[in-house]
Amino acid sequence: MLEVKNLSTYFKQGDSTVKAVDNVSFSVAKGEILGLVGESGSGKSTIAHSILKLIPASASVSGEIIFENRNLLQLAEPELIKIRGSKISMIFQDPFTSLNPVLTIGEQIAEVLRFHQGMNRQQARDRAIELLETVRIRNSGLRVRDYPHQFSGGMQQRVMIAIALACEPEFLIADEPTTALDVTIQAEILRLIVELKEKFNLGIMYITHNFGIVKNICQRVVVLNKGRVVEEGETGQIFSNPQQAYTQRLIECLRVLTHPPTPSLSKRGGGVLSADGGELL
Amino acid sequence: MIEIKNLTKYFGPVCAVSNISLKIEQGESLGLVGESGSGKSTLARMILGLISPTSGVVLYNSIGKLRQECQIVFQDPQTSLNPRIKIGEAIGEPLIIHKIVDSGKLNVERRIKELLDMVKLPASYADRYPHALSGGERQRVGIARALASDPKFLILDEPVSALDVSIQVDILKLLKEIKQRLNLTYLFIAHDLSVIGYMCDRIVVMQNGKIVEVGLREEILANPKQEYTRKLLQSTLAV
Ligand SMILES: Nc1ncnc2c1ncn2[C@@H]1O[C@H](COP(=O)(O)OP(=O)(O)OP(=O)(O)O)[C@@H](O)[C@H]1O
Ligand SMILES: Nc1ncnc2c1ncn2[C@@H]1O[C@H](COP(=O)(O)OP(=O)(O)OP(=O)(O)O)[C@@H](O)[C@H]1O
Ligand SMILES: [Mg+2]
Ligand SMILES: [Mg+2]
Repeated sequence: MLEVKNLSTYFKQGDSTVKAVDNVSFSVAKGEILGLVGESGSGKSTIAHSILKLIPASASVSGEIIFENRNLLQLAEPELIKIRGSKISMIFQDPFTSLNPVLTIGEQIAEVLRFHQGMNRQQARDRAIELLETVRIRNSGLRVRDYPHQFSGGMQQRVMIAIALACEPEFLIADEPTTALDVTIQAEILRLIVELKEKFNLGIMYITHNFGIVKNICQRVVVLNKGRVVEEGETGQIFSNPQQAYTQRLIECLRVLTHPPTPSLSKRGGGVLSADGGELL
Repeated sequence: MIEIKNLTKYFGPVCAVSNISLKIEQGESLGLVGESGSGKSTLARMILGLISPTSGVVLYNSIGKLRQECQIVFQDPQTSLNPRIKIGEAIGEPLIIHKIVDSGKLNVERRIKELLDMVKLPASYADRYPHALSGGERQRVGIARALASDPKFLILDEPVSALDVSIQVDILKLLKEIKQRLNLTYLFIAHDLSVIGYMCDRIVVMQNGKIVEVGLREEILANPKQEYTRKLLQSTLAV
């Protein structure tokens, strides 16, 4: 449903060029969750931003992004505005800067509901409260009136998820959407995302540095290194038999944390501690 | 080193921190875990005096130098970096303000490079503005900046949440090594128990603004008393 073909995104930095994304190709099918993984700085967010043309004009973007038989990179801004948020919705990596500081949380969710689902004011407000409950914000009836700065980091992140849910998009780009959440809430949010995918046959590009999450929800994985795809395949295959030393290293590094160097802890086999890495190690 | 007595913070009707008392000993690494919204960042801000408590006090062994001796790595690196100030200047600023290196330009530049290198960023990043960095790169600048002022007490609020394990491990090792070498004291906030288990000697668990469990790492991890702590330990992301 979404095809990225030979995408390159270069930034100008002083006299030099940063090849943040370098000739990358992959596709995501309807009803599929594709995991996009790679080290910090490998180009994951830049790919996400390039898909929706949210890249500064000074940068050069080439290649094709095919969605519904059209190349998004060649669409004019008014066409893109129609696609952003309604057909393709994005959960940004940095929730605080992507929320509007002068609108309440409730207003921001309601705005989306009225625009995309044609609800009236009252309906939108009620649904916004429900959505906040869905992402486990306590006292949501009261908290809808808060402004973003009054929410904690993890609560802001969950508001972004609520907004994405409100859009009912056809394609979802989620950029590290659960980094601020502990495993208990994280598991619920992931369940929500999987449910959403099943209900609407959504295609999802899920960006994360967490291999535990990848193993749990992604059917396929693309591994990036320095702006290039170094490995791509079915999730099971990547885990059981990573081809690239780079991928092996990413998977292996989990062990250092899941087996801390205390004798009393290593006796427990580290399994208990692998909250984040999941049972994979 | 720091003593917190009956600290409470209300934001309107919301009680973010409720009657917390706690001692942080010189040289320890205290882990703070708890659900999203349980009051961790609010507690951290009050300890640093960035917001004032509704009631209660924070006692510090030498209040006068609090600003320099305490540093915080904010949870949201974006808000702590001025978008119009280059990375190098942002890291160099505390060096100059606190007169940590002789203010010769070369000394400052050398130290900035060192700090960038410590957090695995190329020296050339000194000339960039924050928007030209990835999420995880910005998080690392926050750490470099906090280390720049040679703090004695460092609060780290989810400092590695945006980093992949490979860099996470490097940064945690670095923080551990610096702590041992300079005998620093850490208050380390994280939602990831494997990170806390790796970094901390003692663990405090918060829920709903209150401390529900405190103990040595071994005790808490091997024998959690609270339901929430148990859940954190058990959760293996069953979806
Ligand atoms: N506007 C810009 N100008 C110059 N370089 C940039 C710009 N934006 C990003 N970069 C660089 O491009 C590379 C890729 O950045 P990107 O944000 O896509 O990484 P990422 O994989 O999302 O990393 P993270 O996991 O840390 O969020 C990084 O090295 C970053 O420094
Ligand atoms: N400036 C503020 N105004 C109003 N309410 C606030 C403010 N700052 C925090 N709160 C509220 O106080 C409570 C505790 O927030 P805090 O940021 O301390 O949580 P946290 O434990 O750090 O959560 P997270 O893990 O999500 O970062 C939350 O309900 C939050 O909405
Ligand atoms: Mg990113
Ligand atoms: Mg917080």
